[in-house]
Amino acid sequence: MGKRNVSYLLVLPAVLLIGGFLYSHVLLLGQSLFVDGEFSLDHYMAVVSDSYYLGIFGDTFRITAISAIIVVAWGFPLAFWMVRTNNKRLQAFLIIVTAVPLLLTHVIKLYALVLLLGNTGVINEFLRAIGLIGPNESVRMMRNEFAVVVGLVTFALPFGVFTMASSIKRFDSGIEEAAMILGANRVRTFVEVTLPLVTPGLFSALTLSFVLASTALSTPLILGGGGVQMIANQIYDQAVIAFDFPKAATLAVTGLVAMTVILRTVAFVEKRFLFDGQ
Amino acid sequence: MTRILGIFSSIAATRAVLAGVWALRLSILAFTIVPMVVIVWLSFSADTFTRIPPDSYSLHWYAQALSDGRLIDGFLLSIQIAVMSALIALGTGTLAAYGLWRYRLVGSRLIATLVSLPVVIPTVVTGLAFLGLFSRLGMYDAFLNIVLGHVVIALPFAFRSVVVAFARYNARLDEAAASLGANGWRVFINVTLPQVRPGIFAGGLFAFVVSFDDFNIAAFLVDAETVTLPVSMYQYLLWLMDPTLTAVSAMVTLLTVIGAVIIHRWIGLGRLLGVDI
Repeated sequence: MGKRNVSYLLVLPAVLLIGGFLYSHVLLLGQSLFVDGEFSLDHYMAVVSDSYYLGIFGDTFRITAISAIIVVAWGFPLAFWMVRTNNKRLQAFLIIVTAVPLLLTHVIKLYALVLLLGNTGVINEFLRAIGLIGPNESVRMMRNEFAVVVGLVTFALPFGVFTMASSIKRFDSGIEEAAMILGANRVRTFVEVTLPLVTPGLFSALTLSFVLASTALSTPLILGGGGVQMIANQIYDQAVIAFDFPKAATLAVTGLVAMTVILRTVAFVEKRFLFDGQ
Repeated sequence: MTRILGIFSSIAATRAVLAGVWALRLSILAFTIVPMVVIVWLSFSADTFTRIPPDSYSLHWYAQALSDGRLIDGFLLSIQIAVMSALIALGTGTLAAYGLWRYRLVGSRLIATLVSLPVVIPTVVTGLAFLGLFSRLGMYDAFLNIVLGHVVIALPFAFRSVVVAFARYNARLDEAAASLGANGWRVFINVTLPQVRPGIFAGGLFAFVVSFDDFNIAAFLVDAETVTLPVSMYQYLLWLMDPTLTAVSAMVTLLTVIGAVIIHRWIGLGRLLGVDI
């Protein structure tokens, strides 16, 4: 056996697995494109002409966009702090505090949010204890969009923070020092020097958070509690509860196409935006 | 713009901005840490149902969690599945990475792209696709199906981690060993492998986390007897809110925190996650 054959043998197991993966997605696409063995776009027409499904698509991308923007705006100070602190122990602490939620089972974090946000949860009990709300009142923070946004931010935050941290680390802090030496104060240096340099990193974090959040299934299932419908839990309901596999497949493909269009648009806007910024 | 920013040259205004930065920093730390603290705090409750704050404290629900079938079965099943998936993903990923690094293959770039493909497709879509595939093929062994699903979604991470390790590795060492008379297999085991071990270890660990954490694939592939921990927790949450769930969650949380600290000391969390920090 020649060397080349041995080497193909080495990649064979991985290629077989990916072959199965690709085949399963071809089957999925086929399920959405055929009705009674004949090619037809009926499944797609049924989804696209139904205002119920269109509403779910709109809700999904709106909720997801809000979550992704919060991740970037709120996570940036943490990412910046993590990279720039001179205190090695603090840096290790910040990295661990960000990484633990990424490694921790997401359903456990969702359960923690149920304990925090529920009507008899930690926040409501605290508000009652300090007398901000009456003993029989509660602030509704579960089974609504607020809860889902909190869950999605929790989910995407560590990924967003690490993405921004890598991009902040990539540029030389000497540029900022130069700006300060030339007389710019900290705020001005940040706005005019630092921010333009890290903007590509912010867009990567935004895109990644958006992709992660728009495909989250357990978050709307547990925190939305039927009150918030997103594409992922529609797919799940159609496949596992209604046993309508073609409908689930059609929603999955439509969702993928819609997401691709959105990501392309964001990439286009980013390019224009960065170009204008020069 | 410059004129507006000029306002901030006053010391008081700069101080206000810094106060805002600190408020953001501390609020996000609280947002990250508080949920985990709440889980651990409430897991020590002695009450028969979740009360906040607990009336009294005990280890009762830990004992309950360890004797209650459903959740602890889910936990053990998830561990088994994660170990198996990680080993298979790591084995196939390492072989592929080594094959592509050692030999110039026709289509090696295509192969590398293909192996990374599962990251691009949302796992909820992959879960659905695998449900369709396995029912088409008549495969109804839920354990095997979940392992296969997890191997596929973990493979790109295991592969990338090993590829990075090989890229850093100096191939001259292989040549030196070969010129001293070692055959191909001995070179790999005694020279190459020890050098790339941290990368392989990081890849395997991340594959384990991907499998253990997965909800989206398993949600489509579980059956009545084979339910992984995340899906089992979700089913439990639908019906019950007793503190057994809190105790199990606290155990996993504490294990994760300890694991993260050890990994950070050992190989660095940045390396585990494939980011430069």
